[in-house]
Amino acid sequence: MNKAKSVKYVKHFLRILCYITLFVGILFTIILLFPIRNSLTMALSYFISQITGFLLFLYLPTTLLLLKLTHKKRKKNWNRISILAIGLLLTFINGLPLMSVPVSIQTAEEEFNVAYGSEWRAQIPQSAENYFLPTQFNFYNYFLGFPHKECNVDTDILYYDDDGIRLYFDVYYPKGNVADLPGNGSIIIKIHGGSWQYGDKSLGDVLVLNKYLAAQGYIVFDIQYGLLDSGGPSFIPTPDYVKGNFTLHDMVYQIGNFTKLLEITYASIYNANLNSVFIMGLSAGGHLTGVIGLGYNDPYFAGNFSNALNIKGIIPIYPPDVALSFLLPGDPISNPLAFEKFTPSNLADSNDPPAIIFQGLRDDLVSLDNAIRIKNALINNNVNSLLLTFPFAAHASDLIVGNSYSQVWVYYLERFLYLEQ
Amino acid sequence: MKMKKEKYSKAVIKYLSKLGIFLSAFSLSLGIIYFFFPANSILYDLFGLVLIVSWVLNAALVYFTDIYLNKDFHMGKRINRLSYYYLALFIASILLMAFGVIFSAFIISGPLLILSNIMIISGFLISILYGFHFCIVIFTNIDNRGAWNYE
Repeated sequence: MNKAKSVKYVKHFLRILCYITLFVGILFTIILLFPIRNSLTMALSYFISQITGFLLFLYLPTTLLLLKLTHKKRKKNWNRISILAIGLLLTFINGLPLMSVPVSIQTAEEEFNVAYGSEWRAQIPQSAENYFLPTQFNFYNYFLGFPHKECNVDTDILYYDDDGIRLYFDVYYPKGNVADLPGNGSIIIKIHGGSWQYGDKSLGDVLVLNKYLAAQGYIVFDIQYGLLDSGGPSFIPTPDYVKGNFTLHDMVYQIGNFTKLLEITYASIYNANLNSVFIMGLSAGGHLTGVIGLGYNDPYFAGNFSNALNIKGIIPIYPPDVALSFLLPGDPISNPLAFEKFTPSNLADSNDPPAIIFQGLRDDLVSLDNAIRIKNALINNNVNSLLLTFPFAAHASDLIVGNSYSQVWVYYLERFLYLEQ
Repeated sequence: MKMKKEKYSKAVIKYLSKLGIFLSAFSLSLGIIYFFFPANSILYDLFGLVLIVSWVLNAALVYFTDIYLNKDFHMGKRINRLSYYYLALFIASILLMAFGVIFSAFIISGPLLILSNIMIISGFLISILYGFHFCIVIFTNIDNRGAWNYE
């Protein structure tokens, strides 16, 4: 094959590749903008909304490459004009999540001003600020990745071996003296998501954030709990040894068991401060965070948890505010008390800890009204509750910590933790 | 009129390439410092912004050079070939960075975390270094009359 012919074939191949990229780009952009009730598109939406910055810089050079590969005609150049228009449109739309960052910041600022007063930043000393993100968003963390902070990590510590399952936790703790760090040994109990049926600690629980918070002096316990074995397949990695025929009662009992072991054993091992405890969870873990954090002082759960914990705050992340019938015996008519008590907003009272809630506005799995119900229930009881919303963010949009939503979230989360500890 | 258009087009390409050289060099220097000394700093905020601007600017440069290049002349052909390489390498570098960032979000430590960091760093270096090279080639050949066709 002569050189001219091989160049022709390479160009033809590149042209096809560019068309495929733009076609996939159109599909991804539709998924970014519109809710489509399909398990594959929903799974894709989790990732697409987090990487649109990369995608826009993929569509832009692809458009230019395709323009170069498309012959110019003497008169009508509709083909080239269409390519340019589609390419630029895709680039622009995929830039929208980045452009919406100021909106998220504005919302968060308003929530903090209401909760802590307009001078809330003055309550944080410079010695603590030095450990925090200086700005709500930057491009280098987005494109070059959020750095993994140095901390100690002990993995797979067994805390429950009963009912045919084994439950483990990982613990992230600082390398230096906690007294010198803003976290001051406060405890964060992290509960992973996955529809109460799937998921795992570590991989599915934003481990970069765990390391980041541990480096600030928090002791982060990333725990497993028993999951309902639905038998169905899932793209979410889930260990078999945590699956069983569990209800919400069982899950809260197992986590309650962990709090008792925390009091007896683990707090002293890791120099953790039981007087300052936060509960944080994503999705289904966000629901359990609400139930545990707001139900901690509720007589319905008497004896379930260690009494030694002083819960200073809860961090439900896109939390469902509902007790689903497949997770409890009976139904809301035959078993009304259980359904009432496993709905976080029903547990709110004036002695509850404050909350900071993360909610994506493009979340098709857990809609905004869930977070609003929890927020309003706490506000109605004169408890601070901050709802941070993120335009274009789908479910699980905080998994890549450097993305446009997570950076803003981490900026305000670390300040909330400091103010409430 | 024709002279005026030539002067204007030439000035745009010259200005873009000059700015591209400066921004690429700036991003490269700060990027290297960042990889060795990652910290929370306003200086790095500026670096991130410059990085984005240099990528967009290089894309604009590819677009304008494609309009005015004389592809029948050997230097025009060479620059045209370089712009193809630049676009292909830029796409590859963005993919490397994207997958590196995704992997690093789910890996706690060990060789896979190192690999994801290598992907991010190499993606960054490829995009900036080749962009720098492309801008220099354009800038040094801006007065090469045979390479351009401003009509």
